[in-house]
This record gives sequence, structure tokens and C-alpha cells, in this order.
Amino acid sequence: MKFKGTKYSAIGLLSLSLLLSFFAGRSFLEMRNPKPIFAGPDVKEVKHLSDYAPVLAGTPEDPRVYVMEGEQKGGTVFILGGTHPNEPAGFLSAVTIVENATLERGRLIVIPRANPSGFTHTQPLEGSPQFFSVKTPKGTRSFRFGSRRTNPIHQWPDPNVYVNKEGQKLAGFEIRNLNRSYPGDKRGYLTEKLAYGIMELIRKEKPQISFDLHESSPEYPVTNAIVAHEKSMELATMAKLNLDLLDIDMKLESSPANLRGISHREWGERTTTNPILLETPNPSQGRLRGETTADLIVEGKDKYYLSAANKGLLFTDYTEKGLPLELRVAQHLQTVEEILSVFSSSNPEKAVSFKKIPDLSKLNEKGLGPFLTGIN
Amino acid sequence: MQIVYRIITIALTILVVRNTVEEEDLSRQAIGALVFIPLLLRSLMIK
Repeated sequence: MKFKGTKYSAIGLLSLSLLLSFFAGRSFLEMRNPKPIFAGPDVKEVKHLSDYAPVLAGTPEDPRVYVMEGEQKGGTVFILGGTHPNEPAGFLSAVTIVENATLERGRLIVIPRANPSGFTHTQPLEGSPQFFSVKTPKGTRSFRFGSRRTNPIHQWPDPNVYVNKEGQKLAGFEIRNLNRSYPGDKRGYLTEKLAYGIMELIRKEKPQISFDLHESSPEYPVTNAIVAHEKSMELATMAKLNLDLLDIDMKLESSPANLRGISHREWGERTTTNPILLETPNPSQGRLRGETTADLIVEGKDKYYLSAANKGLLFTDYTEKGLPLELRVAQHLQTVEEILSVFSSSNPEKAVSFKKIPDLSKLNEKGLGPFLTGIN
Repeated sequence: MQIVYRIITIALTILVVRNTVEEEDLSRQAIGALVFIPLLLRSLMIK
């Protein structure tokens, strides 16, 4: 049965759509406002990546660079968080360092939001929340949960197949994945320019160690892992033994020599740094998860993951307690601390050591909130 | 390149609005109004 429409009904329906578009548009635009990160006591300078690679100036991919300095001279260490904005412990570990850590020796260069464009949207078909919150003593602080890839609004369209600068053939959408785009290209796509900018920072600052902080699905074999280039393997091995003594389960993974375009391979091949990539298990990005809520991101509790764990299908321990964000951040921070400690003891002239950092014991005791007290 | 996509999307949006207003079947008008939402968002938000 057909209902007759008039010009007025058409205008009414279009006006309703306009109203819905207004609210949807406002919600989309809200994702583009970066949540603030507060410079902590040892942050001496806040720069932009375009200071190292001017080609990024004025683009959506010009992340902030926080330079921290200790009381005594020493080496330089680079920490990259937020390569994949749907891996919140990687991003929040870098934020926690910037806002809280104090250094005894050396310099620390931190980029918490490596791919700012990835923070401006959520991944299609994943049903992810736009934001998640952490309770702090001063109130609730909200953070963006973004996408693994650059926003297609900033870089579009994707090719059918992406062949990166090292000749690695990948699915077309990986052209927007920062951690498939190294060593980058000054004249390439936006994400390749970003990768080039990060390489430029490493080339110019010459950090002895460079960390790339990530998370992965609990059913993915490379989780709870330190992925090390051959150059960093000895360092990673010693740190892994120390972590074993602290009951922190971090496996050692060798960076595959034939998987090109990834930070732990290209940073090591093309610069003097010792690259290390860390992975903690994140139930909010795994394929086995149920509803993807802000609570799942923060608490890591999911009945389907529990069921998978009971069947022995996961590569991490998983109980009713879930995998809370504070535990995953603690795992990152403790691993960074152990690697720096091993490096500093064998290279005292290039030492980088923390005076204060929220490590495993402090995060276990107090949770993450007290270390993220800046409110937005 | 993005400017080309923006022009195409704006042109499609105008076409959808015009056809919706001229349509005499209510259900087809409703479909036109639904198609209008993503086109409008895309027209305004593409960079």
C-alpha cells in the first residue's frame, strides 16, 4: 500500500534528517578534539614532530613531542605510544610517564599520540565506544578510543594492495597503518610522511633505545611480549629474566627479518637505536569479545574471553578478574624500567634512569587514577 | 583529490534533496531523507 507524499512531508522528513545529522555531526566532531595531556615535572620542552620533519607542519599528523630531562646527564631514550589508538595501554603508559615520571639521569623523548589522526575516528564495524573514562581522586577523566589506522577523511582512498617502501605487499587499508609504513616517505601518503617524521626524530636525537608501546588480542600469539630486533635482543633477554623474578609474564619474540615496514625492524635497520616493541593483551580489540563497551576497555572483563581461556585458547592468563587497564599499563612501565635498568648498568655513561615512575607495585596498590589527576 | 570528492558529494546531496522534494510516494521520500544523512555528513566533514 502506497502513502501519498507531498512537498511538505518531504521537507518534514529532510528536516528530521538534518536534525539527526546535526547530532551525529557534533558527535563526530567531538572525536576530533584531542583530550589534553598535562606536562609533568620533568618535561622541559614540548615540541611537534614537524620540528624534525617540516613536511608534517599544518597536517593532521603532527603529534606533540615531550622532552624530559633528568638532573644528571646521560643517554637518550625514545618512547612512542598511540601508534594504534585502539590499544589504550600503549597510549596511557606514555601519558603516565609524561605526567608523572621524574628522571635521575638522561633524557626521555615521549610521543603519547603517535598517530593523532587515528584518534579522531573509530574503526568501522567494530562497535567501539568513542571514549572511555578513568576514575581519579579529582574526578573522572575521559580519553579517546580510536582506530588502528589514520582517518580516511585525512587519507583516502586506499589502494587494493599496499606495497610499502620496503616492497612488503599488504592489504590496501594498511596504507593507513603507521606500523606498516616505516621507514616512511617524505613525499608519500600522509601516514608514510608521519613514519618518515618519526624516523627523522630517531635519526636526529639518536636515542640509545626506542620503545613502541602496543597491545594485541589475547588470542594472538604475540601478546605479553617484548619484540626485539637482533640489536636489542641481549638487552631484552636480560630484562625478561628480571621480569620473570617479578612474576611478570613477558615472552621474548624476535623481530622477523622478512616482515618489513614495522617499527622494530626498520628503526633497527636504518638508525643507530635499539628498537623494542611491547605488547600487552587487550580484550577490547580481540575478535572473541562480546559487546565492546567503555568498561571492557578499562576492566578487561568479558565472559567470552573467560570461556576461551577455560578452553586453553588464549596466549595469556585470563580469570574472572579480567585484564584491567592499570595492570596492562603497569606491565608496560615495569618492562620499560627493567630494560632501562639493564642498559644503564652496562652503559653507565649513557644511563637513563627514573627517580620516580608509577611501576607495578604502585599501580597495584593505588590503581591508575591517582597518576592521571589532570581533569578535562 | 579531496576537493573533487567534496564537489561530487555536494552535487549528489543536492540531487537527493531535489528528487526527495519532487517525489510523490511517502516511502520513497523517507528513503531519500535517509540517504540525505550520510551524504550531508560526508559533504560537511570531508577534508
